[in-house]
Amino acid sequence: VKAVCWMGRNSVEVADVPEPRIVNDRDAIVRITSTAICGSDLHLYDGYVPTMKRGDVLGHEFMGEVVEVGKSVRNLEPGDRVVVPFPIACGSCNACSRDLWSLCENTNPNAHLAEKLWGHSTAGIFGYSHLTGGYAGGQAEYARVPMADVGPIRIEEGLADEQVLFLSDILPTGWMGAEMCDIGPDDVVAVWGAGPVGQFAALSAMLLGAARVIVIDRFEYRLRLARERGAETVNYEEVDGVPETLKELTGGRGPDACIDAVGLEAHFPGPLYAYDRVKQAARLESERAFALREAIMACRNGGVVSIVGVYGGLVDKFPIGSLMNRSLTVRTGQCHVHKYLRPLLARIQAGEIDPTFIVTHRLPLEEAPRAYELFKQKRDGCVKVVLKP
Amino acid sequence: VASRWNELPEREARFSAAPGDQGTEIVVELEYTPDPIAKLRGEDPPTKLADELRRFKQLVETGEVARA
Repeated sequence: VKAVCWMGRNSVEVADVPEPRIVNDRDAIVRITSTAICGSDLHLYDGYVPTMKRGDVLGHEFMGEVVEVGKSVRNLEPGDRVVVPFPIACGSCNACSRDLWSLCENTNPNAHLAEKLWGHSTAGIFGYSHLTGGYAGGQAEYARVPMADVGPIRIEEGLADEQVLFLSDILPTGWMGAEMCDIGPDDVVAVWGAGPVGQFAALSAMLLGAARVIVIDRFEYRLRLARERGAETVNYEEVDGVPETLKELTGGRGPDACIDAVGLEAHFPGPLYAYDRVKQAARLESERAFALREAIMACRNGGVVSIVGVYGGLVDKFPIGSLMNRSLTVRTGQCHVHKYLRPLLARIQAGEIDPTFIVTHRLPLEEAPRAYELFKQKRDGCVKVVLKP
Repeated sequence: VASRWNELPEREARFSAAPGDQGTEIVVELEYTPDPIAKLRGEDPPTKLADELRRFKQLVETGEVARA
């Protein structure tokens, strides 16, 4: 079957891989009808996530039709249409029972690798390096879905793929980013990054009752998308310092909550960019954390910094003094997707959320190499690519 | 949990209830000669034991061993 394979830094290929098969009794095989490229796939593409191997199948945002189920999967049957959450979770360990699904204790076969880097392991994740299990991903014609009796959510007829596909990751990720801010009715929320997760975080902050949402990016076409949905915007290449600008916009206080929807490959218009870029290229630090540094510095005293942009390892010049002395709260995590699937599907069905507005490109799976470049280089107004196997 | 453990060969273990109804803690004592090279390769006895314990937990809690 055809699949998008990681072939080294800045290289993906659509290759023939062995057909996925049922390995465990709780597995299902899904014929994929839609799959998307995530901003975090670019971190793999750009070579910033360790333990990728040549030939690894990418993709953790996918949906499709169940074609086969293992003996223990009784809630699904062939023909069911499902969206698959990106973390693989067993549903019965301590983490799962506390709604911390992306921290499932039983689904990462390479937990020892993750423990070396992070102290403790996370759940297994589809198509996201061997640190998170080495599971084949969903940018393919077919995928094996472990713990299929727990993860996949069945979708009734009447909803198009693009309305529900983003339940797999970015919609709940944006939602969780906003939810972690504990938004009150008078709150100002600032969001770094107007990519798909930033767009959904901004939208979620509004739905959760924020008085104002300010989105920060450098691409005008992305900022326009956020403005069309009621956010204010700041183009960081056109202002003299983002924290200062946010101060001016909030009577000197700063936003009540700051969401980092950028992660480890941030851009920054200043000499510090060269410092971090060089250290990162030489692998002396793994992250360029401009967005996170700004989010901390900008946040009002006693406010919340919510991190949903992906980080992998270590960072320099982390403003711990600002964080500590000003009583900031940091909340973060890979999204606990399972917790949000049903409530967010209900909001989609009720017409409260229409996630399709971010889709700018629909391409056949075969064109994945071009799609990765379009998305990486932000060409042709690219916000989100959906691939059709 | 203890009865499932006895299905495995030649490991003596102590079992105790974890605080707050969080399940069962298992302690296995291991005597071995440290081997730095095996440790680097992740093939030293403590690493192998930790993997074995993890697979045991997977089996007890989910009914299967996670495989990519």
